[in-house]
Amino acid sequence: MVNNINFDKTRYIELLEKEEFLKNEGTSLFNENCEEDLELLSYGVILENQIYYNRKAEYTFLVGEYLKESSGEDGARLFVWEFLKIFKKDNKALKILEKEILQHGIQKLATFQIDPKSTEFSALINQIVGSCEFLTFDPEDTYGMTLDQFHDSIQNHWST
Amino acid sequence: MYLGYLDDQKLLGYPALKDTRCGIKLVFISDLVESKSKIIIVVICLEMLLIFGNVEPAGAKDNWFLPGAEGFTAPISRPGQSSREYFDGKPARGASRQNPAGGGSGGNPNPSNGSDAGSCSSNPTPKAAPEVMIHGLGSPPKTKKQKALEKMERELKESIQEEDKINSQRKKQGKASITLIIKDSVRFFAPHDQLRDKYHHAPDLDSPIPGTLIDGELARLADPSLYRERLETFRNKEVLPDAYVEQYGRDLRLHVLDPDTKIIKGTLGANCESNGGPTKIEGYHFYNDKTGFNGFFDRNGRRYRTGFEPNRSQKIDIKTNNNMM
Repeated sequence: MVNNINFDKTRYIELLEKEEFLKNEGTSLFNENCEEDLELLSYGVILENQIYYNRKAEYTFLVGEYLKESSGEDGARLFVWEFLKIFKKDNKALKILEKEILQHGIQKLATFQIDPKSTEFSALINQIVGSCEFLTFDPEDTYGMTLDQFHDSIQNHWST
Repeated sequence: MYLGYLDDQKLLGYPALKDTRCGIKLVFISDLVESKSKIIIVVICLEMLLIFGNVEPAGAKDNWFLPGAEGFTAPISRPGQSSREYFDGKPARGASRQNPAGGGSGGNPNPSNGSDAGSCSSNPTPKAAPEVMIHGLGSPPKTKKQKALEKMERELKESIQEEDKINSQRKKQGKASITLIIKDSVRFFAPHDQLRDKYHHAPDLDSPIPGTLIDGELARLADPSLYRERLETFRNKEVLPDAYVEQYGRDLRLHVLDPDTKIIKGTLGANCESNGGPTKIEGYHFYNDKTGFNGFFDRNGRRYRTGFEPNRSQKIDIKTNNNMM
């Protein structure tokens, strides 16, 4: 997803604190103010993109190994498992970062650099995650992606 | 009788109480009818027995309900305790790394814990007591949250009962088991072969993971020979026992039935379709903003397709386009 929002750190922290307060009250920003919730999520996307980008070498290694090995169903299963494992770790890393931001304030973001290439790389990661979700080994599943289609999609995403 | 009763009697110097051959009361009376002074003591003690005679001795010291509160219905939830813990007997998120392989088939929603919602805890948490008293004294009307939790409990029981019937039928037909979820009288199905294929998302529901799958950090995999070794692990069909898949299904059911989970009619894969991927799937998102988990069931057959904790951009997609991926 392309994120055109400018990263207003002060506003981001303000919304983070508001969400934390509402959580402690037993509700959420999503329930109380949808627009602000989406604004907060959009700031989160900017950080998320950068976190994926920071791990570019590992994602690249995994995709490279999968395309090189082409080891059938088991290779695809291994790829999906390991790829999503890093992906989930990165998502968790953002949660941890947000907690630290709440504790230490804007100083925590002082050293966090945003690379403009991170948006594009994140879009690629999200596309591969989509392919992983549609991979199916059930021949009767008409919605899914067969092994060959999956392999091709990873190759296409990666080569663009 | 009250706590420390026997000790008090000993301190008063009644030797008969030491003898328990034929019951404290009988020996107590027969030994003391010898002298006049002792008769007075007998009368006093009989009065004490009349006063305390109706007190329940057994287990009284372990009862954390204050006297009088036991007549009231205990609330379903405890402060700081999630509903999933109550109904499934499963530890709360972050504390469920138990091996489910020890059992769990059939109607028992928890393979690793024999307790259920109705049984008494051997180690009750004192923090529950204040809530019991608050609800018990005034008998106020049920809160919205309580009603929602009761509905969840009913739906969970109904789902488990119906699932047992369906699975015993499927077993006879040689078919794979399913997890059944009945929410608002609508049935949703999670076939176990589908759950197995989507098991990589089990950590998002805090479902337990077999040790064989926990290994395999990327640093280790960077060695090509170790990558192949890891591949061998995935070729082993025994790497993921059925019990883990069943537990994952039960955790998914709790997510769907959770009162905080919202149903959003929408699609899965609209973005993939526009990028040349497979056709998007129409169906229902079961999204919980508190836990962050989203499960998707298709409209045709209401079959489980996938479920995981979306990242920020996927959350925006769900909230603005009713779509994910």
